[in-house]
Amino acid sequence: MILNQYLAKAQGVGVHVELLSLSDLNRRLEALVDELKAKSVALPLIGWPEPLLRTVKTEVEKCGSATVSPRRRMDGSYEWNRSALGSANLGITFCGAFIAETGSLAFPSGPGLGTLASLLPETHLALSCAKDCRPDLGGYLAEFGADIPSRLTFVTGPSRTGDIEASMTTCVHGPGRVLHWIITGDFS
Amino acid sequence: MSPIVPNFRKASREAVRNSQVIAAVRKTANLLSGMMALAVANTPDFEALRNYGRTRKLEISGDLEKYAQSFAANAQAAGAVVHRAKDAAEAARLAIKIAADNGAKTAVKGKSMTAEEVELNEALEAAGVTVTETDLGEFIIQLANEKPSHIMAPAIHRSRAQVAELFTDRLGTPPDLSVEALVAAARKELREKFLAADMGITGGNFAIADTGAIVLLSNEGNIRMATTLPRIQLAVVGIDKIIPEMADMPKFLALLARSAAGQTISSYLSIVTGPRRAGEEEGPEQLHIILLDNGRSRIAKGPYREILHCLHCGACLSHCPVYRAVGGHAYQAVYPGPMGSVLSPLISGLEIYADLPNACTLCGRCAEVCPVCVPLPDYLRDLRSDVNKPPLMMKMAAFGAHTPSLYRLGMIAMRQMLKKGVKGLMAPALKEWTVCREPPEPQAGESFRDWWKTRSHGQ
Repeated sequence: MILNQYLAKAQGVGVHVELLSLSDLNRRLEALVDELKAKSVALPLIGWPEPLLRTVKTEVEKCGSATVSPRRRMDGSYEWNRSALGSANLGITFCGAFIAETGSLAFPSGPGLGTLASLLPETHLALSCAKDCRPDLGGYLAEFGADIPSRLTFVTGPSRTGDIEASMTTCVHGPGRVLHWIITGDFS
Repeated sequence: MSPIVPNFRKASREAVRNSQVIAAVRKTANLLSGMMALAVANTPDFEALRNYGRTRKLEISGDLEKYAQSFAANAQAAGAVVHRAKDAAEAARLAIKIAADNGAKTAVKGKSMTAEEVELNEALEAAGVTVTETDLGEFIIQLANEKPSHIMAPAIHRSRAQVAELFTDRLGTPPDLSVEALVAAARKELREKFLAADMGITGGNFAIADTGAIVLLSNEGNIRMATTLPRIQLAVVGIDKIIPEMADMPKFLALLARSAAGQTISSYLSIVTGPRRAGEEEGPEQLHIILLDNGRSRIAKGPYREILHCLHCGACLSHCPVYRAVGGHAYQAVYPGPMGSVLSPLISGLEIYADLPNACTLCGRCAEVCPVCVPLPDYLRDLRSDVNKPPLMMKMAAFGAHTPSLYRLGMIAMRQMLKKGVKGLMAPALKEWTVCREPPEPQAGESFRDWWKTRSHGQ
């Protein structure tokens, strides 16, 4: 029910959203990486359901793309290699909450979560589990209580502007293309 | 403030003749108002939301200082450094100090009308900090060395061809690029600035008192970059932007996004609570928030308090017949249009912007579309009385109109004078009035009152 509301809303804001099973993921990823000729993929490694990350990582590496991820330092903190991140053609992130009311993807910050992978590359692919759909923004915000992350970002469609003659154009600073693949079935 | 003395009458007279600018303004204003109408029509409970917005804002503006203190305490607890600035000059001084203390030489900036109010760019540039505007519209007008002409769509007055010419001139792009190619050129140019900048400067659409968070909307993604990439972040926020709780935010967001551009939410919504935390790979090392008063506490205590409820959505601009006829620059103020004609004189002084309350036909459209029901036409009318204490002649006319016998005498005299022609006796007194109007033709035969009297007797 709310998933249908999300699908309608997300398509309305220009997100390419699809439902697929984990077994379809390999094939679809290969096709995408191929189509984009993505030499370098920004891929944060924290926060994923294990089977999903394993599939994504294996497939991206199989396609011959380099991956850029926040690196864990000796003291346990994380850091991005900024110049490598800046040249990634595709960002793949796990999205643990998406909002039916607005068609938004939620990205809280946290060590290793690497939300910049959803901003710097020209194409962003977000992967979610169907069960992670939330009805509305207010309810999702309430889940955090007083413990809100330092940066909580909601992405609703591609980066766009109407600043020149009010002509709607995408890919200004962030991705021009946002894909959201929702994995159905229980695998985690 | 601004070195030029604002003169709306003169500036608007010139502006209405600039058909290219007016065509561009109308096109965008039509589009924005159309998108808003559609979004509002698709929101069945929009009136209830508006009422909620107004009621909640009345609570806030009734106790502005309480919410400002609560916001400051919670933002500090989250690790931000909160500065209070009583006026624009103090805010500029604080920004310069923050840059200097941290050796910041370059800054990327998101669109912020509060920063325009403070003239932050000029102040930082004078202190040796290079500020690059990153919102495409702001980037364009920065290249052209102009001021924004709309609070939401700052380059509304420029055509594609003019932007292409500007980019060729300033960035060396090939001539006559399409909109897509212009956007791609700006992306490339600005990406490097984002990655290299020491400081990210933004405003804030909302400041949440109970968590100390700043909430920022953008469609382009530049705000996300400016709040994530540079090592120092500075947010300049008017104290009127504070809302009590995180739970209020989705509702105010719904009002703002629909009214500004007909959206349910912008492409990016960033909720920023303090700087980067331990272990994180993203976010600034320091987050500074300048809470700007600049007259807001004073306005909150006066008769125009509800102007502080304004969400800065720009709907009143897009719907205003005067704004659409003259464009934003004619107002010669940071805030143009109906909200600006109230706010600019209140912030900078009625003596500076004495003309602006008259830049209004009192059609009432702005109040109809305002997402928080600010009584803009009432305020503009009241401000006119504040500017023009009625002259003696008008006081006499008012007395005459209240006294039936005097009114009758006056009308007889008026008819006589009209018959003799206004070029004679009355011309000097009516000069202001006849500048743009024809005097009425003298009426032949009896007066309405005489006719009415004979008619009612006959019945």
